[in-house]
Amino acid sequence: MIITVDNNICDQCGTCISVCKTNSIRLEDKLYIESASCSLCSICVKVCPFGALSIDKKSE
Amino acid sequence: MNKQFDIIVVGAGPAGSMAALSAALNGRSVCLLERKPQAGTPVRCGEGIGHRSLVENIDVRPDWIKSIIKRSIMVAPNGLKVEIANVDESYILDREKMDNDIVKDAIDAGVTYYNQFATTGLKRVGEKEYEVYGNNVILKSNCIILADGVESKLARFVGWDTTLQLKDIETCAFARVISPLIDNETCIFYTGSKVAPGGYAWVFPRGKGEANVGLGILGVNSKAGSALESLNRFINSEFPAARITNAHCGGVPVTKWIRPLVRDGVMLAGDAARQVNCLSGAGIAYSLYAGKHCGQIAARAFSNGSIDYSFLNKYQQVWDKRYGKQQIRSYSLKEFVTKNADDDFLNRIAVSLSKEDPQKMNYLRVFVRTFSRHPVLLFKAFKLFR
Repeated sequence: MIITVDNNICDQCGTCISVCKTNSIRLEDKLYIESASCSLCSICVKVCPFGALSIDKKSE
Repeated sequence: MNKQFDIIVVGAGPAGSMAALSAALNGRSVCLLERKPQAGTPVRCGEGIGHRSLVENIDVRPDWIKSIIKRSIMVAPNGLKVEIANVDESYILDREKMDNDIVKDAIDAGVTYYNQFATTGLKRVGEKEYEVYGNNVILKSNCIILADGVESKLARFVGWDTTLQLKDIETCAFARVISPLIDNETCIFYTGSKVAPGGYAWVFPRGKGEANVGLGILGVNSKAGSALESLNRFINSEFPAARITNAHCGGVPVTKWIRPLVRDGVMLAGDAARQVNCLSGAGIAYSLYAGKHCGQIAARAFSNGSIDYSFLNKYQQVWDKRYGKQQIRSYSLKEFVTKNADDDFLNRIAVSLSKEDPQKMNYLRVFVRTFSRHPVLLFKAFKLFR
């Protein structure tokens, strides 16, 4: 299970970064989520105003 | 490409660009870094500000003012409207124009400006020097001002924990709406769990039938995409057949400002420092003030030969005196409102206020009624609005 981002929806507002406890999200040319350090708490998914983040249960 | 500067500022919003401008005007070599192609866009802001808050922090140019607000209306969850005609003069700004003009002023003052610069890291090297990483280059400086917005990620590289709790962030969606139903002189605030649980929706007119329409939902009440869904529902309900442009989203921190605001050689300003009025979500005035003063004090630290905590902390002292205590009061009031002001509570206040003369109604009266049974909060409301 991992958190994924749809960069076609992401508005690059940084709200998800502000709540991430493990510093696993970064915003450069687009949004990146480092799954290796992500704790899967999914708070970022909850706060994304546009719903660009989601939980992918199939990916490892 | 010059890679060594006295001061590096990250983020070209109002806080960062004001910091860069004031540091350059005080004789320092300054580099201003902005991730986006252009400062001020997209606008993630209602653009509202009071006259006094604006003019005391910046020399205002007439073309920054989109409209002048003469009155406000607060709408209760049951639809009851309370008119507030006794409002201090307020403006809706053209943030895109204002932000760009401040950056231009900074460049004219000698600031080196790099846009589309994604700052990816920050590290202290040696006793007094910092390295800033991004775009495959390393920039060096003895003093860093971090104004990188709500994400406030770079501060984490140098020891701050800037993580926001869900109860301390409003997740927001904004749009520009064009409709004949928009009153060009009236700000409207909508409350209630159906519109914006733990926050409010707003209509801020920009003139000529155009308005900033947006809403904020408290993080604990948010679900994925709920801000945008709620905004679409709200616009369809209040402005049917309106033309909608520029839909964007953003997070607004509604927490206490970060302490300390400075460490040896590093300062925080604006949303990155969580400098926002927690009750209204307003942050423009706070950011302009914080940016101006941290830039000045950083520049003076060089003249003084001491770019350390003890000198830079003067910034925290002036901030605390002017807006810091006010923000802490707003946080206490926000905590009460988000925990206690359910729809029934808000409806009762609206019924009570609707019997009063709108010409005598002001924001203080609204909050006096809200906190009438809570003397400590009542005192804080007085201090906040006086």
